[in-house]
Amino acid sequence: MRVLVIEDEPDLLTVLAQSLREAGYAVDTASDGREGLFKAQGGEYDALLLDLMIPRLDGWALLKTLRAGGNSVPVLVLTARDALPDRVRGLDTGADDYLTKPYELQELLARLRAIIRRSAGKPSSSVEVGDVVIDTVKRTVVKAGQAVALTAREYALVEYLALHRGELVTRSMLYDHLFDEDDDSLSNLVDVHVSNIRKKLGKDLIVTRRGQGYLLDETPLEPGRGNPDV
Amino acid sequence: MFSALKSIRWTLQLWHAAILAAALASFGTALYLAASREQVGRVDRELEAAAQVLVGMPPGRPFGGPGGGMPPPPEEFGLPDPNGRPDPGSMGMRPPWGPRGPGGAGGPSAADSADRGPGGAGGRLPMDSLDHGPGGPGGRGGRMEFVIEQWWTHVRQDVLRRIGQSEQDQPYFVIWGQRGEVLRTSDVNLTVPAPALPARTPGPSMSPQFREREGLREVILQGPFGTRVLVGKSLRSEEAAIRRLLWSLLMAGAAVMAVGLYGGWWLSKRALRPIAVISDTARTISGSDLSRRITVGETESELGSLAQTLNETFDRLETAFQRQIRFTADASHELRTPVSIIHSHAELALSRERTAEEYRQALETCLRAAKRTKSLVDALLVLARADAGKLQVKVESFDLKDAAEECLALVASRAEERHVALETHLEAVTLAADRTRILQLLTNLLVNAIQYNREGGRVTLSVCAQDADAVVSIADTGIGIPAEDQAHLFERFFRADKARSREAGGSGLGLAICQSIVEAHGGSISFTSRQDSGTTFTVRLPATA
Repeated sequence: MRVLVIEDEPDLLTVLAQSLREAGYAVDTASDGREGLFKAQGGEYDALLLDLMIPRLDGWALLKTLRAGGNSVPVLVLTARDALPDRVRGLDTGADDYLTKPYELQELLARLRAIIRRSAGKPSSSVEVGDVVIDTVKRTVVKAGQAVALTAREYALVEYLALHRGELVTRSMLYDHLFDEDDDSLSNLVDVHVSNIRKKLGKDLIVTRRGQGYLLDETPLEPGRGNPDV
Repeated sequence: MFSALKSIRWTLQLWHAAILAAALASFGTALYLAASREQVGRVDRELEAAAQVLVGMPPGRPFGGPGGGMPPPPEEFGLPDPNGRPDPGSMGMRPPWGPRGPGGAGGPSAADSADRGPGGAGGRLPMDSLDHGPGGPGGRGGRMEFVIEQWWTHVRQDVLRRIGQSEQDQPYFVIWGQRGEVLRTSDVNLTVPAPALPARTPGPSMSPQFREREGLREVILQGPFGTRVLVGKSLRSEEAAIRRLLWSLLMAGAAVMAVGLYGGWWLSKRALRPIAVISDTARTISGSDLSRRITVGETESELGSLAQTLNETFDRLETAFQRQIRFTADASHELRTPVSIIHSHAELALSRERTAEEYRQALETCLRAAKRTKSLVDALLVLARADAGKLQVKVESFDLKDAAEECLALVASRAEERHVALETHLEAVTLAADRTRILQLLTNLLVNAIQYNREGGRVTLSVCAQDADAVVSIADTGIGIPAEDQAHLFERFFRADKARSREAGGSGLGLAICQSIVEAHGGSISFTSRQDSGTTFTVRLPATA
């Protein structure tokens, strides 16, 4: 998962980025509204963490512009403004959730997971594919009752595919969502990760569509769901 | 009850009632008095007319006219017919005791003269020999009696016609002779006190005397040959009429009072209703919602301008409240940020095993944030105290030049970092003020001047005395303050260039505090600024507090 953190307070920005990275996210940062809007519109993010009181373009204006442009990226507003009118305004302008500072990290991560899940249309936080159970909260994968050790990147890949279960995920989508802007990874890395995962979880978990991408758990789909073979 | 007395409405009502009652009372009294006087006058005229009939003078015939001195010749009068038939049409009738003329003495004269002695025919008034009443002993006075009776009946009719028809009026007359003896009376049972003896004028007199006794009104005329004629009547019917008038007045007065009071009550209710509306709205506004206003129907009336004034007051209140709310919101926001930093860094550092370096960095960041919190809290306290008017100013006498030099030393390193040169023009000026606060003031301004300066720029600090004031000016060669920001510069938490000042750790309270300090000393602070050219702040402080 890749998130964009927009916060102008430098000490807070660094700790947020670090906390999220340690929780397995790929994190991009912006310290004012204009930079934030530019990155949000240009990049592919699974979620946005937005402070409202930022210079150059305040959080509300950024949100409004983003939504007006049709961008439906889930947004978690993180701000010191806790008055009721502020909360209402934030949510009505287009935020998916509202958290006030000072925040508890656990809650922040849980809410982030929730809005990402919701926007992917996957209400449950655990995904079962055959005998593989992926718990997105605990960040664990269990196969046939046995815990499977995955690297952070491997898990991230599995999680992403699980979140888009049944949908075709292209390689470039994986690049965008697993690596942040500072990562100079080679594209091959994705294939390496996939093969490693297959070794650990079985060949049937991830299906390759030659020339297009991967998907998790090819269950018969309704026509028009994005499966080109049907 | 007493609160009712204090109410405007009740006061209005009472006054209204009092004035109305006074007006009605005086009007009613005047009317009553006029009516009774008019009535008495009428009665008097009637009595006088009747008396004059008795005296034998036609009403309106002036005394002293032709034949004056004496009553007119009898031909003018209709004498009672010798046969006893009365002549009712005559205006005046000659009294039987009057002087007889040549013509128609007739029966009575003959009868009279039969009684009379040597006075005989010729017109002597046989006063002494007149009988008293119709019931007198017959015989000698029989014919005379008859004549007198006839005469009295006619006269009585006339008198009655003049002075009232009803029996209740009971008119009566009495005639006294020259010596005060009763010559004739309408009712022998009457006891009427004789009037005072008149002055010795032998002829009849025109000027009547009026008197009243025991509910009877009487007129006394002087008749011929020293006689006195009195006619009176009971005033009972007049009194009844006056009482009826009085009742009518009272009833009418009461009705008018009732209508007036009711009308006044309704009118005052209408007039005072807007006040109730205004006070209700005002109470709601100040109680719950400061954004509402009293609807002003007409702006010209007294209540309209009252409502307007109240609305303006509410405007000012609302502005002040909004400013206060904004201040509190901004303050809490500013405080939350460093608290979040400390919280997050500590939480992250403790979430797993870290290197010593990582712990150190986390602690350093926490300390930085804690310092920021402290300075913010201090600034907020100063402002809060200033707002409450409780900013303590410990006044001491010191040299402003020394204080300025101290500040320069404090900021010297910062200026060096930014390659800003510090220039001074300092005069020795003695100032009575709070030294610590003045240092704070100067330092704030100097830091700003360095902060918002160019690389290699200059800051000039001048101290001098002007009139009774100490004047400090701090000029920089910086980027200047944009015109749209100038009005807000002293506002709390206002930052002209948000990004820059955030890096520097400023909270936007510096200038607000400067202003509070200056104001606590009774001075003034102002600035001039040119875009890209620089800004100059000028502080004036009274040299003696």
